[in-house]
Amino acid sequence: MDVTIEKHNSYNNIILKGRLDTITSIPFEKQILALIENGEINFLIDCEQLNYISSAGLRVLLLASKKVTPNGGKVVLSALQDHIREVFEISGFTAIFKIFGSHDEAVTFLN
Amino acid sequence: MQIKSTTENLSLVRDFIQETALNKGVHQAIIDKIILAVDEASTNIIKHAYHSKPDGDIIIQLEFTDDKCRIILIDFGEGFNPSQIPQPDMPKYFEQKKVGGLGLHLIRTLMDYVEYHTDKGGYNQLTIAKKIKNTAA
Repeated sequence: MDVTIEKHNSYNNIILKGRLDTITSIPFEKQILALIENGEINFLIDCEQLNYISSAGLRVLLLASKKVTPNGGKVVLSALQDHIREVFEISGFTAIFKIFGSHDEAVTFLN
Repeated sequence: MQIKSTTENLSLVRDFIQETALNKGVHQAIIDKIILAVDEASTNIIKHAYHSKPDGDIIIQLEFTDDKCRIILIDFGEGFNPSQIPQPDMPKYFEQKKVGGLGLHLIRTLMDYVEYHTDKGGYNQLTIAKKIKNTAA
């Protein structure tokens, strides 16, 4: 699992590559919570290269969203692979997160 | 297969299911769902039945019939009552402070059959099953 964080003016672009599971979600949670503690509130999670997510990964995204929402922040996702999107759909997470087909659409929304 | 209760062993479980199911001709989209469900079930056993202690045993059996894949997970840790863990209602779930019960929710949604049984002899058995389609079909 590789996590790349790019800071932009109005949001943080987080590129997830590989598997977000019980093990890899632990360091990812620390990373994103550290950013939130530093005052960051908007996150674009780029999922184009994410090929596995379990409830542990969903939980981190939910936690991040819960923390930034009261401060007017947003956690949005882009470019989910079909089988990842299916996990979001069956878990009901599509009702919680804004999901964009492409990175550019998500950027337009955040700007 | 039998593993000790550590999250590091979850990748062994995934590989075991991937190889076995692929050899049986199960469609990859179905294998993905089975892997995720067993991953969630094993994680729950490690965290809740064994409280993250690494020396517990988990037995995982895979059985195939023409139209079904059945997975039996046995542990010797603390049991639970699944009926006390309700299906989360997502918009409400977001409002709740506690972020839990998601793994079981995924298992229930991914699989066609889920049964949990705590035996007085000191083991817990989770049986889950999924209808399968063969790649040849």
